[in-house]
Amino acid sequence: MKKIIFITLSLFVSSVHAACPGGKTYPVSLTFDDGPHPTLTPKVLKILEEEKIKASFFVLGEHFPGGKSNPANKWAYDLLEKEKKAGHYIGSHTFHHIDHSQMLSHHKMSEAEVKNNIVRSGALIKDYLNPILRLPYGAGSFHSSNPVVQKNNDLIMKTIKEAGYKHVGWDIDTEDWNAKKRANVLPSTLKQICQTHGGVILFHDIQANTVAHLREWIHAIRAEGHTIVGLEHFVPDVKKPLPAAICEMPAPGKPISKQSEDLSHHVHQAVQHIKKD
Amino acid sequence: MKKITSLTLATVLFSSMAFGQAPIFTTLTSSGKNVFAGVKLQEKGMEPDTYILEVAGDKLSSSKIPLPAEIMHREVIGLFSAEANKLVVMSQRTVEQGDKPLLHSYDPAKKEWKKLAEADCVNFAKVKIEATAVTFVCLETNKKGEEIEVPKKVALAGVKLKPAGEVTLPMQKVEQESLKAEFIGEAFEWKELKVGFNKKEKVFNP
Repeated sequence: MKKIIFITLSLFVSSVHAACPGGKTYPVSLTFDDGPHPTLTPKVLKILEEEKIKASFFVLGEHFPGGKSNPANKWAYDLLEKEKKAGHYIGSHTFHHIDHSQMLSHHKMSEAEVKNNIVRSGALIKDYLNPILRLPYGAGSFHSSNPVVQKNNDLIMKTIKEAGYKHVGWDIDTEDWNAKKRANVLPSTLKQICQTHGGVILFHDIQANTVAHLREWIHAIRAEGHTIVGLEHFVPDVKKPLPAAICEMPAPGKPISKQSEDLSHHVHQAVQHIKKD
Repeated sequence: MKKITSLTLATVLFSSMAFGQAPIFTTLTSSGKNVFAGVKLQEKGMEPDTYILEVAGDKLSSSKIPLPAEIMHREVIGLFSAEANKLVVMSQRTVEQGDKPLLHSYDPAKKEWKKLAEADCVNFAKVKIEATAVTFVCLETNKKGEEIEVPKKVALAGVKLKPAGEVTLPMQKVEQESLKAEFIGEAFEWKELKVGFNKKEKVFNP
């Protein structure tokens, strides 16, 4: 009897580090935040095409300043066009990549400015957009033990809903951006898939490390028996038509995030470099 | 009876692994007398809650240092001993994408927190610890989509650190004088902290 229990527990423990317990397999959907990036996003699209995967891209509005009338944005709109034609879903990741909850809690932005940053991307990318939005850092979508933070989070989620978006979070956070845990991206992703019984996986298409390892990660996920599916499997609302409210351009907001400005500047420089080449 | 006990054990093991809600240690440091470890509790749908666990080396007893509101939902990614028994805390929002790390100092005698700096570096693993500054070995994506290292130095507003040279974060093992500490368990999901002082040893949970 002791022997049987020992063997059972050994199998159980070893299975945690390989396939899921009991050999179970789950559906997962790939999502990419923060793009498009002029050189990295095309590489991601190529891998997805070759691997026959329909993914979702949550793009930042700051990559489309001035909309289609600004010729400097052509590269970014061309990438949205490619994403849409390939059958991928496109969601909003708001305009600047800021922590909306913290901006309110620390009085760095007014309510109006926060609301503006959340909704202003819609009009810029309406021709490509599905009615889905993901908050930067997920900030605003979580419950907080701090009542002030929670009040602000409630306001943020109300804004998203009233604008006509479905907020899409994630189940599996790969931390693919994080050099401190780089060696752990794949083991952690596979482990989380088992823990959450599959779900939405979060990547970033502006990270060179992600692009370098994406195919390997996809193969590893499939080798465990998991199936890569479209977002509609988990979020049926993604297929709904775009509400008119999303397409309305609000009054301009004040871009104050240095981090977001840095990202805009970096992408702009990359575009200039490509043009020179 | 043995069968029931084993099944119960397996169920408890599976439950904790399946939901991943147990608090974990994130990084640590030692002052030579005390050990400090960052703790994070991340439950699904909740902001992460974080604090610092302090272990007194001579008594091998632990106490909790709560974080100020500004960083209570941020992961403690670096801890550094400073002069006058102060502690420098490096925190970062690590959910979805990293943000700019914040540096705060904590004075245990006065139980006072002070914001020191914000580093213009989202992605990094190595930092160089000097007496009055921290240099981040920042990883950035260049114009061609390649990753490059860019050093970024941040002054510490008068707080003096004990220089430690180049450090790779997170710290998971420290040894200073007769005090030793290390995390035990699966990498980045450490649930036990083993602290040894002289010949005594004790394991702590977050």
